[in-house]
Formats: sequence, structure tokens, C-alpha cells
Amino acid sequence: MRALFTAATGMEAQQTRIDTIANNLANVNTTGYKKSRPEFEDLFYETLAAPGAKDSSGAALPTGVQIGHGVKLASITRVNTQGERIQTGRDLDLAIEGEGFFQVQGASGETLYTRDGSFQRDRDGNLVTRAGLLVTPGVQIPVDVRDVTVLADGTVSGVPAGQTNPTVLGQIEVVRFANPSGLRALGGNLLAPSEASGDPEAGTPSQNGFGAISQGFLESSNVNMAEELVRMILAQRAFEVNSRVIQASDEMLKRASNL
Amino acid sequence: MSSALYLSGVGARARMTQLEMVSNNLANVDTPGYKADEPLFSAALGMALEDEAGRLHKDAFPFVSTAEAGVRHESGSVSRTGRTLDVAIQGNGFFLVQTPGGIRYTRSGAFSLNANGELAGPGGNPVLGSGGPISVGSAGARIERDGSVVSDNGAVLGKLQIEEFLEPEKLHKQGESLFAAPLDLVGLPVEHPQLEVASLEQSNVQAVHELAKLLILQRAFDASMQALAADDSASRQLIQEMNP
Repeated sequence: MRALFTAATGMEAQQTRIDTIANNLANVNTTGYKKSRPEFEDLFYETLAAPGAKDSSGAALPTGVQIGHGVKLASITRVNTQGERIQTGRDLDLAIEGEGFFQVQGASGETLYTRDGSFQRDRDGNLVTRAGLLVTPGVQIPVDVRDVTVLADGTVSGVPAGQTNPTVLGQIEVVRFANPSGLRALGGNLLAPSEASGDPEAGTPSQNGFGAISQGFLESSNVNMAEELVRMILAQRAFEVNSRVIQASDEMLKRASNL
Repeated sequence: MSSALYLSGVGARARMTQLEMVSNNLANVDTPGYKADEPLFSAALGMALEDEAGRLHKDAFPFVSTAEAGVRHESGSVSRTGRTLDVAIQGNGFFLVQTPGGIRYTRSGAFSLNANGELAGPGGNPVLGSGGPISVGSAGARIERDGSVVSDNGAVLGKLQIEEFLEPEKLHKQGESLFAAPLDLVGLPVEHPQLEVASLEQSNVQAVHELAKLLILQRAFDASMQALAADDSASRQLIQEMNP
């Protein structure tokens, strides 16, 4: 009985939706987190009668009979809308307003991408992420430098000890992708490029459509709690109606086998 | 086999088909741009009883068959997503998608960019603008109410092509939220489409409606089964009485 399996695909789809909602809600306070959304498509159809087929009286059927096999998960898309900017006042907290990702060097030397700009200095003064990964291209801020300033275009400057004029210490670069939703999430607020994302295009913040850097701010998660809760209720109900079909199919089968 | 037994069997079979359609509709209650399937039992009944001239056929059995099924093409509700590449069509019309098997039609406007930087619809296939696939490149883009695809720096990259059909019920479902048009069905370009931006058209399946159908078809199936059992026991009695 096809209906049993069709309803099972429906339940599975709603289970996936709940899984995604759970992960979104768990990350409601994660800096730079982008919510995910599952995308569903209908599965293939079995054609019992093709449109235009002739019936016994010779009349052509205006429409055919097609029976679908349920639903499938097409993709889980990351929704790259801007998260809110939250003021922290910390000099090394950076948020990108608009498009782009920070580049960091992964543990095995590969380049990874993140929207989380809560940077620190390591013991050599290098700009690193909270997990200690180097920001690339590297920016070194010596220990005795005061008043570190990061401008909208990513220029990092500071006032060395015993001087009054600031000097430029480095430049923060951002990159963008043809298809940022195609980046692979690695956890730890890190994303890796993939076949689908396209090649990275580096640029100067606030120029050529790249986002601007704001110092003293962090980008909060773009998860909207109310929206997720509404989706959760919808998913729960959709799960229920599909389980109802399984129940009905079961009762009909029982009835037929009891003849 | 007695005709009563046969008719009950056909009735039960038709309910099974209906159950499969209800089941597919409910599985797709959350699929953007999905259009509900609707079996047309009563039309089959009318056709079997009457011919085109309206003459009654006394010898025609009024049995139910699933000779036809339709797709309900009315719009689903539109919900806002805030994603710049999500778009819903207000009123009639379909987006055009270039697949390896030819042009297909869809109401699902959850577009993304494929690795070539083209605007892509279901299955990563490029969506067609008036001049073919729309290349976006690595800068971001948004879709405007009239279907124009505009890059973040204001350049117009293309305009989504939208076509409507006089008889959309002739479209064939293909899966992956795509419809195929038979050769004799020609799409008419919509000159001034009205799009809802940063929104998606939801499935037009009404869960309550489907649940009601589920209850009714279950009872109808029960009734067919009861008729089958009654006919069967009558036959058995007949056989027993003839072979004392």
C-alpha cells in the first residue's frame, strides 16, 4: 500500500524540519549564526492514465491520473540575512554590515570563513579568533600599542607607546561567494568552501558592494524566536496529519484482511 | 463473479487510489508551490451513465473509476521569509526552469545561486529570464516586484520570465516541484507580473479538507467492504443450499 510509505515521507520531512528548528533555536545567541531552512520538493509521480488518452467511448481525457509518492528534502539552505548589531564596546569585536566573511586559517592550514568577529590577541599580538585561529591576512598588534582603531574599510591602526600619532598596523580583508548558502558549516562558527559555493572573491570592506566593518559591535544570530516557534507548531501539526494517514491506511488494510 | 461483488471491489480500489492522493497531499503540506491532487470520481460516474449527447445508457454500470484526476491550481498562501531570492507569484503564472529534459514550469520561488553564479530553481536548474539564464556573479542580488533581478550595486541583471496557461490542468506533474507542458499547451508570457518579494508561496493543501476526505473515504471503503462481505456470504449460502 503506497499511502503508508507516502505518509512516512511526510513524517520524515517534518522530523527534518523540527531538527533544523531545534538547531536554530539552540543557536539563538550564537554570534554570526545564520539560520537554516529545509526546502522540500514533491517526489516523482506514477502516471496511471496520461492526459489525452482515449476512454472506451473514444473521448480524450482532459486530464490524466497521476499519483505522487510523497515528499523529499531538496536542500537545507542557510538564510544569509543580516543579524542585529549588538554593541559590546570591545575594541577587537568586529561586525560586518552587509556582505562578506572574515578569513581565518584552519588547524591544517586551509582557509576557512566566518561572520563571527569576536577577535582576540594571542601572546605574539596576532589577531586570532576565540578558538585561536589566525585571521588572514595577518594583523599584528604589539602589546604596547594603545587605542586600537578599526575603520569601516578594515584598516587597523593604533598608537605605539611613547608616540602620539597612530600608525597603520594592518588591513582586514573580507571575501564573498557566488553562492554563500553553498558553504559547508563545520561548527565552531566556521564555514568551508565547497563545489557549490563557487570561488572566494576577496575585497576591501565597504567597497564594491562588500560590507563595512563596525568596531565595538558583534553580529548576533539572525534566528527569530517567534518565527521558529510558529514553524515548530506547523511542523508538529503536519507530522500529526501524516501519522493520521498511516493510521487510516492501517485500518483499511485490517478491514480488507478481515473479510 | 457476480456484478455486485465486482462493483464493491472496484469501489474499494477507487478509495485506495483516493487514499494515495490524500496521502501525497498531506506529505506535501509544507512544500512551497505544491498544488493539491484531487481525484474526480463523480465525473467518471457521469461519463459512464451518459454519453456526450446526454442519452442515458441503461446498460452502463454506475461504477466508480479513477479515469480522471485533477490538480487544483489555486494559489497557496504567501508567507514572508525575508530572504532576497525568495519570490512568490500573485495570481496566475509559472516560473520557467531550464532542465536537461527541456523547459519546465514551477510555482516554487525559493531560488538560489548555482556554482556558475546563475539564478537557480528546483534541482539547481537555471531559472529563465527573458534572455535565457540570469547570471548574477558573486555580488548579491535581489528580485523586485516586477520580476527584475537587480544586483546590490543597482545594475539590472535580467527579468524573470513568467508564463501562464489557459488550461493549466493539462500540465503534467514531474516531481521536484516541476510541471511539464504537453506539446499542444502553449505558455502565454505575462507582460506585467506582480510578484511578492522576499516571500514564498506555500503549498495549497488544506490539511482540514484532506482530513475530512480521509474520514469520508475510510467510511466509503468500509461500506464497500461490508457489501463485499454480504455478497460473499450470500454466495456461500447459495452454494451450500445447492449442495446439501
